[in-house]
Amino acid sequence: MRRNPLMLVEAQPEPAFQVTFDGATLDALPGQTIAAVLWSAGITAWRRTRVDDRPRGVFCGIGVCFDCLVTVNDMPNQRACLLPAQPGDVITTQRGDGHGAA
Amino acid sequence: MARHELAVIGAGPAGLAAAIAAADAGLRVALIDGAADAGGQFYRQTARQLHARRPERLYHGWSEWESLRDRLAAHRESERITFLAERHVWHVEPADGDGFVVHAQVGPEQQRSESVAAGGLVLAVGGYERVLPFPGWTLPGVLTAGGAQAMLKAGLVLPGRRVVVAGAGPLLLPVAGGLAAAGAEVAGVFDSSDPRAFGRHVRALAQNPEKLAEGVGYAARLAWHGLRVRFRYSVIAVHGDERVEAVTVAGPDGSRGRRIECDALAVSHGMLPHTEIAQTLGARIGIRGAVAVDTEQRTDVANLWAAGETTGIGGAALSLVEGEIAGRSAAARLRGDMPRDLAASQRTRRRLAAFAEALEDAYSAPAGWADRVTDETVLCRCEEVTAASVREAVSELGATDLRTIKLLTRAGMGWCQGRICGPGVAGVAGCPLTPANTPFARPVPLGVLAEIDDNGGSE
Amino acid sequence: MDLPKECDLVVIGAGMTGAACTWYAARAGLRVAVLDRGAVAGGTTGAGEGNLLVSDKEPGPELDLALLSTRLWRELADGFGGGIEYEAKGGLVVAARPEGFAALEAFADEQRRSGVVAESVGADDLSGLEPHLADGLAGGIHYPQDAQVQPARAAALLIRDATRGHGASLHTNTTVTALTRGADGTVTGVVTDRGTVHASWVLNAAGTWGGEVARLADVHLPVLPRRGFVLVTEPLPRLIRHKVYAADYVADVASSSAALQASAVVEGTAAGPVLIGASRERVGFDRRFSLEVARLLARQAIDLFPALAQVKAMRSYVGFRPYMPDHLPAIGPDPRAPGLLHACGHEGAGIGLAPATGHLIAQILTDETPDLDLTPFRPERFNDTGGEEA
Repeated sequence: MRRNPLMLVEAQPEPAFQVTFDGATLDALPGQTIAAVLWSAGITAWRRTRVDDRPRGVFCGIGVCFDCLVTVNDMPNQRACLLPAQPGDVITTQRGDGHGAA
Repeated sequence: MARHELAVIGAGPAGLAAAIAAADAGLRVALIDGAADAGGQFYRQTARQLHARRPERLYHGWSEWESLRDRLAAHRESERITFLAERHVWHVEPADGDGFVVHAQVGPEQQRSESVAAGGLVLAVGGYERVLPFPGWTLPGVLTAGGAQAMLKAGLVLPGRRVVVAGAGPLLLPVAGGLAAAGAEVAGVFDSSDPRAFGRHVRALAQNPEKLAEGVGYAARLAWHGLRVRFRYSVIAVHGDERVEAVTVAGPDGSRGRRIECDALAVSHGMLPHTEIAQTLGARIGIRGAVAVDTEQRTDVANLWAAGETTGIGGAALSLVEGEIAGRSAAARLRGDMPRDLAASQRTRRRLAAFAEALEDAYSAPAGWADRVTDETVLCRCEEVTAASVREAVSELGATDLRTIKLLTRAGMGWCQGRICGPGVAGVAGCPLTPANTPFARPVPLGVLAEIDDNGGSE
Repeated sequence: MDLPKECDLVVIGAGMTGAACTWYAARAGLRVAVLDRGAVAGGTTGAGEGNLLVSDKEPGPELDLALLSTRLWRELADGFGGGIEYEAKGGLVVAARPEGFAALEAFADEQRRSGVVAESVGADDLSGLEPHLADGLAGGIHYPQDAQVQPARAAALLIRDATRGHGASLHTNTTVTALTRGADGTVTGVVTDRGTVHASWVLNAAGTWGGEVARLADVHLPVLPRRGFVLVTEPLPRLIRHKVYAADYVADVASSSAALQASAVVEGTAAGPVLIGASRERVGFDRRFSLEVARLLARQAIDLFPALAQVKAMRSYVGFRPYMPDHLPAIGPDPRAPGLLHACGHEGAGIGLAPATGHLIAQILTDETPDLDLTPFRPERFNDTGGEEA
């Protein structure tokens, strides 16, 4: 089996729970951020920019750049790299300013 | 509102060392950090619920961390240190009379603000990565090297399967090694610096054998994965439509580019200090955009200390000794005493600082990077301002500094307040990198701002 | 660009007022050099919201100036396209209580007699104009002539047009250190840290720092700083359509008090963020952020638009309005120093009043009869009393 980070540190994570991203169900490990959950599912973009409608995801990874903004449970502009995932979270691709702009 | 003798903002190496040293000397300390656990970026902890049994495999200096962790636990037990986790400081103001009031939003939701008053304050707020722009740098899959490391340590996740690590600076080695150890295929490690530059700093390097050994250790780990750093190479473009598909790497001659397929690029061109709180309090910013401090880590604002990367980029060992000096100075000064026996720590500090300066000087961004930024490249990621707009503001509209460029183009007006785009805009515009005045260290809901009084905030 | 050896007009200050004076004078055929010790729009212009208001002005010389400017701004907007982000959004002044609404209506009656378009809006019709406005307000006045520009871009584009098409030259990072005088005391040019420029006229458009320039000519011009903060939110969809403020604002503008006054002016911008001004304090050139002011502005903005409570403030900036004791600018030649003219002291209305100011200055310099009587704006009017120093 291919080596992975969980194996490296011999992690024994607590049982996974489910969240959704744009309607699709994803597995999430307790303690992981929204960004980590999306990465685990192979998803690297969850925002479309306000001006040019371009995809964005994690850039700085430590809460400085605000590139990873995402809408979680209808709350826009959450930093995916900082926000821990919770069971049942409804994650949606954030478009534009996240406030439903035309 | 709780009042402490000393507040320390930031629980990374500098803040931990400061809080522990001050508590050792008998002070009652509030240690404030945005994360759930202490450690900062360097000792960023794997989420507890992931139950990592061998966390040390992701860290350098694990035994040092264990010692800090245990000393923090003992001080928390005796209530010398109050650890305020998940507090995101958005503003610090001078208190009426003396001292400071720290305002912080609470928890991941950040819908509520709390205030902490303290007679003295240590700023140990760290730094963040500098990334110089290049065509394609806004594509998903391009991220900072430190960000890749933070995501790996905290959440045990990788940015992709096949990763290129590039840029300039000492961070590239441990990041590439960590990604490889965790199972990523590292498709190359490229540092634009010229190794001959290290020859100019033999003395500073030779006086820090333990730091050299740290570097050799990282290199050996890379070699174990069949990798080595290619110096004088840099990524000059990223390809892909909706995400990274490949990068082009150019060598010393600059002419021939080589295309490397990958699904992630971890990039870093060194680090920058966080200075907004110090600036808002009126502290002087010195060389290299860092908070200016004296030999006791005191700023020029009364009862305000600073330690670690915020006073100049230098790594964890330097941060630890600076934090210790700040904590001991604060413990003495806040009680009207003179600090004693700082000389040995100050010598260590000088030696490590000389090493850090030598590294900063030797590692260098690729020559002519600003000229290679195409007109259509987005410089300001938040407001999507292109290099063409910035160039027009300078050549056509009379802008001579970052502030005017911001006013004319919106570069630096977005969510990150110019922290990320500052170096790129300044480089392309040919003007100095001057930190913007940002009284809000992070965005704050107007409703929170309107009600801080009710939380015991400012009166 | 090298400084010219001589020209017709040296403009000191590349803010909005200096830019407008440069543009109108260059278009009138004068050779203009505009100098600034910093960048274009680096002072109060860069710290303003770009208000073009008639709504807050009582009948009198300032309102006449504002009405002239309203017309000229529309011409400029036509000429410069979208680059200056001109928006004829209109203003809405609201009152919480019936007696406040009655006072607003009385004020609007006077304004109408001077040519202001002011439409009374009953309580029930407010939400039609501003859907997110708080419930329970007594009513308001809608001022369709109120508008907005992006002030830094407006200043930069006017100067660029003057330099490209009309022979003017821009010199940033150029500090005027002295004025040259003829034997009879006439001002004949400027000495700068980059050389000397001889000129038929020198115009002081240094805004809040206009008093310092006047001192170079040994004349007294009491321009004082009045500090203001603006809060800027995260980008939003068009939540707020007009410039909206509560009735207290007009009283604050006209006040001479040094103490903090704030009555939030709330507006959306084309770029997305909502701007919340406008505090007024006379505290000298103190740039330090004030949490007390920010809190007051946030509270008042939420009082007007409750939905803003969830919206994040991203930054705040501070500026210094050039304030004169009688709240009127100094516009015109200075008889105490022939050759010197002033165009400064517009307080918080400098962006709005800039085109009229530039137009009148150009008329003076080309010996035309000015469109407005300039007597109320005479620069030497404080000489008799010695002015009111802070």
